[in-house]
Parts: sequence; C-alpha cells; structure tokens
Amino acid sequence: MTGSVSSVLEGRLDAQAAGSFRRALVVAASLHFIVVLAAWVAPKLLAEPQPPLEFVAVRIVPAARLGVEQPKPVPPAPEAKAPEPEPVPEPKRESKAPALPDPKAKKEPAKPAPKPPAPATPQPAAPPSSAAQVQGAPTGALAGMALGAPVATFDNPDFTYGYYVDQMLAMISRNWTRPLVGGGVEAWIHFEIERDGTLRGVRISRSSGINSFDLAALRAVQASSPLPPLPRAYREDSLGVNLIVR
Amino acid sequence: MRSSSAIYPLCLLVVALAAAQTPPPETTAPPPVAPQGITVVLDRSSQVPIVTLAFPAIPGTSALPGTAANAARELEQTLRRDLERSGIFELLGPEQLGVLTLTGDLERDADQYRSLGAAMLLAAEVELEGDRLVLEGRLVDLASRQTIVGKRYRGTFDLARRIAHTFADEIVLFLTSKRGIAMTAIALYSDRDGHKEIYMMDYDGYDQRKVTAHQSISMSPSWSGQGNTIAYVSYFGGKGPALYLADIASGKKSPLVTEGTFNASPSFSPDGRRVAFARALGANIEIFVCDRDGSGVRRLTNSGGIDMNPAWSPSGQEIAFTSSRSGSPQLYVMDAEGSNLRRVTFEGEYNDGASWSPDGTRLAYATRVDRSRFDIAVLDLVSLAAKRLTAGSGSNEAPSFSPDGRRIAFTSSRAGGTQIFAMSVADGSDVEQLTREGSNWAPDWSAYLR
Repeated sequence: MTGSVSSVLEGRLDAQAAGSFRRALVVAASLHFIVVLAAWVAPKLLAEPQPPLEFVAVRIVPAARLGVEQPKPVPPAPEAKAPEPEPVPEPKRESKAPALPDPKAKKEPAKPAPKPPAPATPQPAAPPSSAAQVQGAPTGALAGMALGAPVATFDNPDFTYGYYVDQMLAMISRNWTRPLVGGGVEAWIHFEIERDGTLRGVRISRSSGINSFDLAALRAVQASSPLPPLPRAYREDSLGVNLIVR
Repeated sequence: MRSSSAIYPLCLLVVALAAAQTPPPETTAPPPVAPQGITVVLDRSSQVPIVTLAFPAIPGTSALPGTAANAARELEQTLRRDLERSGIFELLGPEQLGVLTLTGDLERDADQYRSLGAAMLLAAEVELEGDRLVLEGRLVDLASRQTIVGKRYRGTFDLARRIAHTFADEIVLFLTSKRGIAMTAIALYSDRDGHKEIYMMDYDGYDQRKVTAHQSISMSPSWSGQGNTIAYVSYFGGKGPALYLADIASGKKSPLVTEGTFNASPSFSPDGRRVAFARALGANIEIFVCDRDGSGVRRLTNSGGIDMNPAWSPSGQEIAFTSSRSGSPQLYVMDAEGSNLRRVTFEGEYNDGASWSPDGTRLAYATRVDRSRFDIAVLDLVSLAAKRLTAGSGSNEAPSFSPDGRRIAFTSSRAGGTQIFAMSVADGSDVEQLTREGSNWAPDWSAYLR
C-alpha cells in the first residue's frame, strides 16, 4: 500500500512536473520567438515615424587638392569606387535664396523649399554644365582656388558649406594615424557638431570589423573637438556627420 | 491569460532593448544616418587649406570727416594685417580686385571674385554714429553665398585697432576652432631709454609700453598663464639678480625670490601658482621652484653642470631646461617634481632657450650654428627630430610660441642691434620686425588675454 501510494504520488508529481515543464517550454519558445521577431522588427518600426532619410553617400575631396591636381571639371576618379550604390542627386543649390544675408536682420531667407527626392527613387543627375559651382572642380580661371568649390553633395540640403567640410577633414586627418591593416577597411563614425563646434555623441555607427581600426578612427574624431563653430547662416542647432574612415 | 499579460510588457521591454542597442542590423541596408546629416569620407590626410579671401576696400571711409577717416583707415589696415598674419588666408586686396567690374550685387559679383580664385569675401562697412566708429563686417562663403560670420562693432576712435583685432579673432575662430591671437601681448626687455627695463607690446608690435622703471638691469620676463602678471629678474636690490612680479593692471611690483646671490630665468607654471627658476649654489646653478608668494622653495635638479632657463610645459606636468651636465648645453625635460629626467637634443653643440608649443608636442629653441651665430629650431618631442626655421640671417635666439602655436617671436641681429621679430612656425616665413628702438631681448608671448 505504502508503495502504491507513494508511486501514485510520484506519478502525480511527474505529471505536474511534466505539465509545468511543457508550459514553461511553450512560454520560453514563444518568448524566444518574440525576442527574435522584436529584434528584427523593432528598427523598422522605430524608423517608420521618421521621414525617409535623404541619404546620399558622397565622396568628398578637399577642394584644395582638386584645385591642384584636377584642374578639369571632372570629379576624381575614385568616385566610381565608392561602395554606395545610390546615384548622386544634384542638390537644389540654386533654389536657395541666394541673397546676401543681412546680419542685422534676424530672419533668414526662407529655407530651401523642396528637398531632393528620397534616394529610393534617384533622379538622374542634372547636367554638370548647368551647375558648375555645384559639382566638380573649378574650371578655367577657378582652377587655382583653394577652397569653396564644393565637390560633393550633402544629404542635408541646408548645409552647403564646402569650406567647413574641408576644415573638418583637415583637422580630423591631423589626428588620424591609420593602423597597419590592409586596404578595403572602412569604419563609420557618427557624431553631432554643436553650434560652437563641440562634438557630441561620437560613436562607431558601423564597425570595420577590426577593433583597433575602429578605436583609432574614434580617437581621431574625439581628439578633433572642438571643430570650428558652425557657419552663422546655417540655422540648425547642430549638424550630424557620418564620417567614413578608410 | 495571466501569463500572456505578463509577457506583453516583457515583450515591450525586449523591443526597447533591441532598439536601444541597434548595431546596424544588416550590412546590406543603408548604414544608419541621422537625418539632416552630412556624409563625408576621410581616406587620405589633407592639409588645412589656405583660404583665398577677397577683401575689397571698405566703402564709406572717404566720406567720413578727418579724424574718423583716419581711425577707419587704421581699422582697415589693422584688420588686413591681422588676417594676413593669421596664416590661414591669402588676401586679395583692392589692387588685385581692381580688375573686376563689380555691381554691388553679391549674386553677380560672387562669380567674379571666384574668377580670381577667391573662396571667401570679407564685406565690411564703416560708418559714424556720433563720436563712435561702427564696423559691420561679414565673412561670406562665395560658393554658397552664405555668411559664415557677421558682426557689428562700435567704439570710439582710439579703439579702432581693438575693433579690428576683435573681428579678426572672431573670423579666425570660425575657420580654425581656435581664437586668433590678435589680442595677445608680448613681454620683452629693452635698453631703449638707457637702462634695461621690462616692456610689453601688442602682438603686432604696436603700443609698446614700459612695465618697470627700476633704472637698473631688469630682464627675462615671463607671463603668468592668465596674462595678468609678469615675473622678471632685476638687479636693482643690489644683491645680485633677484626675482620680482609685476602686476599688469595695477602696475604694482613685488619681490618674489630675493634671498641668495643669484636667482634668474623665471618661468610661470600655466596655472600661475608656481614659478620655476635657476639659482646659483656657489659655482653650480640648479633649477628650483617656488610658490607664487615666494614660499616653498624646492630644488628640482642635482647635477655637476649648470642648469638654466626652465620652461614650464602647457600641461603643467613637465619642465624643459638647459643643462651642461653632458659637457655641452643641451635641452632636457623632467617632470615638474624633478623626476623622470631625459635629454631631448642630441644634435649641435649648444642648444638653449626652450619654449613649449601650446599643445605640448614641440619645443622651439636656439641652436648654435657657428661661433657666434644661433638659429631657431623646433623639436618634435615624440620623434626628437628637429627642424630649423631660420638660416643665414644674423643670429636668432630666444624663441617664444604664440598661444595658437602658429607663430614664434624671437630675437635676431639681422637688422642690426638685437631686435624682436615674429615668424610663421610652419616654415619660418612671413617674418615681421616688431621692435626698432634700442636693443630688445627675450620676447615672451602671453597666453590668450581676457
């Protein structure tokens, strides 16, 4: 009797245990599923409320170098090598109210109206001839100019200051010592430039896969703070920069 | 039901976690970019470019009455020279711009300026408001036609140069992230009135004024990091050279270290709280340090050679000095407490007079090139490689870095006597003579002044 009672009890315990184990299994499995689903969906969900990114990756070459080496209105050859597949929409620079802003006036000319279309539907590049000062090296007599010939576009159409990018790249490259890793290595550093030039939120947004390279790139950017103050006519409080370090 | 209601917040938490640490989810997707950002590639080193700046004559000057017109001309001249001296601009002045037929409409004129190679335009106007001069200036990026910096200044006529300096410094800040040095000062000593006295002058040699009047021998001025005090050596007490402080605002002089028979070559710590100096113990000279009130004198070096001319590093953690312990005068660096001593110059038989670059990576010094001639060199403290900045023009000594690290003041015999000059650190170019009266020695460039 005692044996049968205990075996019955054990049997019940087993059944209970099996039942709770099964339940636990189901819960665990569904939790796992949810986690995976969430991890996969979350970025998309979160990204959704934001307007489509006007993202155009462009190779920016300091104008000074272009002026010296590339007197022809041709973007430097390596542009073709840029891994970003998106074509380069021409920014509507001409659409900016071009009048000389009056420092006394508190208001700026209206912001440039239409933003370029999202890169998903790239528009064919405008003929360079119609926008000589927008793309390409200076021509003819402009060839010797040291600065101010924007040789690239920005995904922020409000930020049109080629000189600032030249200064920024020069300052960062002064702090940049490339580790001895092979070619084809590339790290993305993201940061915000405050109005006064201070850098904020410097982080690796896409790892090169090589830790030392990532950290060296990060340090080069961090060591460059502060950069010059943002130009007065640029009205935003800060400027986001995606720096691709190769 | 209970379990699912428990899972729901958990699920939210998981979503939040996943969102919080989103490394780029897939490498094929466009990388994360902040909206309204820019994307740039750094793949080669690039130099900070020299900016070609169109600076046409400032309109409105000739319409002003006599004294106002003079002040306006002085303002314009000072601004031009400040920008040239900054080392970041190449100026196109009225002569070069005279070939253009400008319309006054920037939209049409911009391309004309650019046809001469200009990348930026300095558009300024001067007018009179009562007895005050008003300068309104804008630095314009000619490619985008946008204002980089726009300012309006007002002041009495005697402030014309100060207005120009202030605007120039602001412009330099917007292009380099560092303020310009147009409002800094240089201390020196001079025998122009018959005695060797301490003087100070603006960074461009203007407004030279006397700091001491001991009618003895006063020399070796050293600015405090705050620019309000100069430490110097004077013999006027009669017991041999002793150290004194001069307060710039009040003109008050006070003794710093007067005991002993020989105290020389003071150097303020960057925080202004201590002074390193050389003191003789019999025939031997060693480096000492004391507090700003002259107390707490401590010895830092201990060698058979002569140790002189200490220079406190910008970080405050090291002191460079000259020592003959190896048999010839060479530069050494030690920690500010006297430890971790190392020799840093190995070329040349006589190296002396170290001055730190503001970033602490280089030393400028004088190196002897023949029996009676020195040249200025700059030593990289990592590689210990030296670069000569002067050659073949007189004897050049006593270098002192400007607080932005772009220029060096020094003495030279190139113009007869000993005079103070300044030059570009990059290549020794853009040399400018700052003193002409009497002989002048030992320039010490101030930090940024308030």
